[in-house]
Amino acid sequence: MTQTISGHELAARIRARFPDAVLEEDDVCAVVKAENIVEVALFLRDDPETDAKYLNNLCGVDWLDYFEVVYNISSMVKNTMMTLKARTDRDPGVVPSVTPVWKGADLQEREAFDLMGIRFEGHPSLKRIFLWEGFPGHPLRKDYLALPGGYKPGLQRFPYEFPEGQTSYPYLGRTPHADLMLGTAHQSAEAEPEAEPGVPMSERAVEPHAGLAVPRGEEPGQQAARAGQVTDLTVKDDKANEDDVP
Amino acid sequence: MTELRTPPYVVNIGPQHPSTHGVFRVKATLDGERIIDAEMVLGYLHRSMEKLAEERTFTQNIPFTDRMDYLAAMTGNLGYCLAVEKLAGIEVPERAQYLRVIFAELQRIASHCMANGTFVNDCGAWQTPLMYMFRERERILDLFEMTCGARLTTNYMRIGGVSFDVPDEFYPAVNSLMAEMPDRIAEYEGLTLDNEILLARARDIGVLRPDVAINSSATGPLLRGSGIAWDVRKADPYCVYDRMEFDIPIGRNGDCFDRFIVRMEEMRQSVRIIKQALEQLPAGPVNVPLPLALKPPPGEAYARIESPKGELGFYLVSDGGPTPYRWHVRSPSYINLTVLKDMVVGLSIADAIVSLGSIDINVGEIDR
Amino acid sequence: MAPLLNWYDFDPFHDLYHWLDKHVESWVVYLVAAVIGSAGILTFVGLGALVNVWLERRLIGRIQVRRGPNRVGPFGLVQPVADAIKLIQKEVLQPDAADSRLFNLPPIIVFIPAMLTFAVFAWAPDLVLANLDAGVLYLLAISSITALAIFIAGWSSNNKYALLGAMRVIAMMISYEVPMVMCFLAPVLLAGTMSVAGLVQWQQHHFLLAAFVPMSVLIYGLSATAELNRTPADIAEAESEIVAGYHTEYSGMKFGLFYAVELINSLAVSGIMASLFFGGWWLFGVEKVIPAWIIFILKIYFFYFGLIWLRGTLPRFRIDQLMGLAWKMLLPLALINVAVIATEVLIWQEADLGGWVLAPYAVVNIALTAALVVVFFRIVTARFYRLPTRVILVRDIQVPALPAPASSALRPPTPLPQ
Repeated sequence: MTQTISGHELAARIRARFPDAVLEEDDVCAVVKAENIVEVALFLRDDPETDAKYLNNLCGVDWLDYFEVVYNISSMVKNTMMTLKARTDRDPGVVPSVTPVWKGADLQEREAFDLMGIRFEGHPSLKRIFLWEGFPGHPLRKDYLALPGGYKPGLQRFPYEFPEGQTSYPYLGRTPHADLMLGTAHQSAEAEPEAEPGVPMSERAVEPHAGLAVPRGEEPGQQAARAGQVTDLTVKDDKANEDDVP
Repeated sequence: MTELRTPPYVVNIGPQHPSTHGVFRVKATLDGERIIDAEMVLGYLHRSMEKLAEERTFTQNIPFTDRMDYLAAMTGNLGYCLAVEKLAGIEVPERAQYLRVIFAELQRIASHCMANGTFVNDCGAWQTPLMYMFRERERILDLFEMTCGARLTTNYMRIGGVSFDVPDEFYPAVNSLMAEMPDRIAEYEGLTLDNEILLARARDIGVLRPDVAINSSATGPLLRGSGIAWDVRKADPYCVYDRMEFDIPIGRNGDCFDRFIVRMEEMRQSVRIIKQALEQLPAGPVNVPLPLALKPPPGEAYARIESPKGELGFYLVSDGGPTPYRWHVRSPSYINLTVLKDMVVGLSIADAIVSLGSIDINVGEIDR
Repeated sequence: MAPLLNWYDFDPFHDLYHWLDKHVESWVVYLVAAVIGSAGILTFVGLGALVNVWLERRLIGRIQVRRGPNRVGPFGLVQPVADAIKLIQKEVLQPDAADSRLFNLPPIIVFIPAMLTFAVFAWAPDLVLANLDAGVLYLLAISSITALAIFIAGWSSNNKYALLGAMRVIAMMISYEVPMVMCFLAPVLLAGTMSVAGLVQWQQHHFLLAAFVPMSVLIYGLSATAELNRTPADIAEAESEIVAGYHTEYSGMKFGLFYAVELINSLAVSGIMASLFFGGWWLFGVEKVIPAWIIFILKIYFFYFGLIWLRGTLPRFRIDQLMGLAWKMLLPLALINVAVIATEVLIWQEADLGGWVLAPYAVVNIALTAALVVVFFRIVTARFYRLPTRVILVRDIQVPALPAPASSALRPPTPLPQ
């Protein structure tokens, strides 16, 4: 049976070697600063007690203020599993690549770069892997065409084709990164700064954009009841919604 | 004597393959007959499942897992349901656990039939072993249809159990299939294992060293063919695998032929597991009642299973709402491709096709 | 010109020819006989192609535990007609940059040697279209034209990959011509004649040549499958498919001709095997009951069945393995074969022994063939058996404590040669 090494124990081991690398620790994981991740990973891999030679999973999580890259690593010989996280800013999101430590990180980091936009320094060939070069944006980010409350407008056109009269995407989050990416700075010019920095997502008070009074965690059926509401997102001109290319 | 210098040229292997792996492209740079560089181009089947899953409830995401590895839908379902149950702390009744084991192992046999059949097809035998193995795969798919109504995208497991109990005609069908299966596997082995042409094509081709395998996060028959006896069912037993007796087949050399025989033997071990599970199958409920929109407490979970292709893991982050905050699939085919370039450089195209077939990829899982 | 009469012994047209000979010039009779004979062979070849399409698909289906075509007509018998109609009505595309005249030639060129092979066969004791004295040489000569046609096809397609595929196929076909020629020397030496009809007659008086030169039979079997581009030697249709084979740019009936020629060539090769080694129309006196040409056709289809069987069962070789097989295994065996048979014939003639000596010769040859094949086989496949072909079963997880590989960084792209 695989033993899971708790975040506290992992943080203790890391702290013993690198005193100021650990940012946060939890029951599940230990969070490390992004710039230390390679040396911490190398230490965890080569240390005979931890012996984390196998990288099970590498993925990025978008926490709206910061990115986290999650490393689920394990030791096959000792049959243990542990979770390590590297935290970095959102803009720009740069994390040193752990490919020198575990080769298996190669393709997974490319995927995190492609879908989330986290750049991995030192990666042998950091290119987009699922989407084509020139695709605008990084789709798995929270501010890419998805809205709080679960309402999804749907993709009427390919990302760089707009219906007549429209000049930008209907609604996006208020982060500066999104504004820079899509030229909607004028829309967010009067946006107020983030009210509760550092508060985990689940405990934030959500303030939806005007026209979208959708609370989080609503019961199903309520969304259907709001179906008739007109929002920013309805396309005014019906003809523009046709699927066939002229 | 002046050597004839030929410029290297780029050849596309794919995206339409003669062999059935899916829409997958390798840009191979050839110098004469040898490949000197191989670059993968993926994404032809990218359906943005991870993004879509963030807008749907946990139960609504189960059909996504069918369509990722569409040749092993049951194990995809199982991995996801285990992750959600770990996240939400749900206990699964015993009968459901046994049924999960039975169907996961049936799916493993079906997937390996397909994998091995197409591997020998890549080596050149015009579908003869494939047709033989498809006979048994058809019977397994009939069993699936009997139980949950679908052959390929089964959508059978639910969070907290399975969706339906097995009907009465399931037992005689599965018992007769399991009684015949060892003879059939012996027939497949007799057709293929001692064939010198297959040995010539697959022995010492695509060798993977064990330390490179571990470092490249290889899993499944890729890892076991290199001699590392690691199986998630034994290392981290889920459902009722700790009550089952079975062995792990490993190879000696790490080449394509070893992976082929590892898959053959895994089929036999799956038959063993199914027989034991059928004997021990208790009565009881197959499901637990859950709220319509399950809201697990905030947190994260990583759960893994041994799918036919390797270690299938799901990393879920919940923020207390009905939909997941982050839904990530650790897909074995995708990560097993890390070794492809090292394996293929230096071989000819024919060998590269054979190596790719032996890794046993499924593009639905790679691209998601 | 009476001697010409011996060249076209077509019975029962014999009386017709002799009657005509009295009234017309000799060469007119010759022409008439040629036309009638060619018409007969063309009929056989045409029907044979149709039957072969059906037989191949149906048999391969049965080998693969499935029925073959069974929708179009009873037992799928009309399937070849459906295939032909489909191919005829397809649009024939031709790349702009392809050399037009050269592009249209190969389907025709490749058809000619296939047809010509049937001219020297002995269908019955007096039923030969062209009783050439150098029949075997003629067969070998025209079978080389196929390679030329394939190369023209690959070259004129103006497709890099078609050319590559064509060059591979040419290399393979030329490599396999050498053992083929050598293996024909043996029966010719033993029988003392190169004419195909003569060889059949020799077998009628003695015994099947296969018993005396079994090594030639084996070598010819393998060389012929390679010449035909059939599994296990079908790299032209398989690996090259990923790169593109020599007949990619051909569509419609042009491709249909390539496909049909492959089947007709299979018939021709089976015919050569049947005539040269297995008695042709002679079958221990049965030809007095059943017409001889029916026996011959049955033998042809028996060997064709063997070819289909090989195709359905075996995986295919890689190109370098094929070439190694030809040069390193078949050629030495063929040379040894020729040497042994030549020695035996020398002893036979010099010591002026009677016909009884053939029996011990047969025994010696069969034993020697078996021994040589086993020895060569062991040498060639030794390296595949240094590791057992079975897995190790382990009860519990067992991971060796290996250090991480020294160069964990990924291999950078190999620098391209300048």
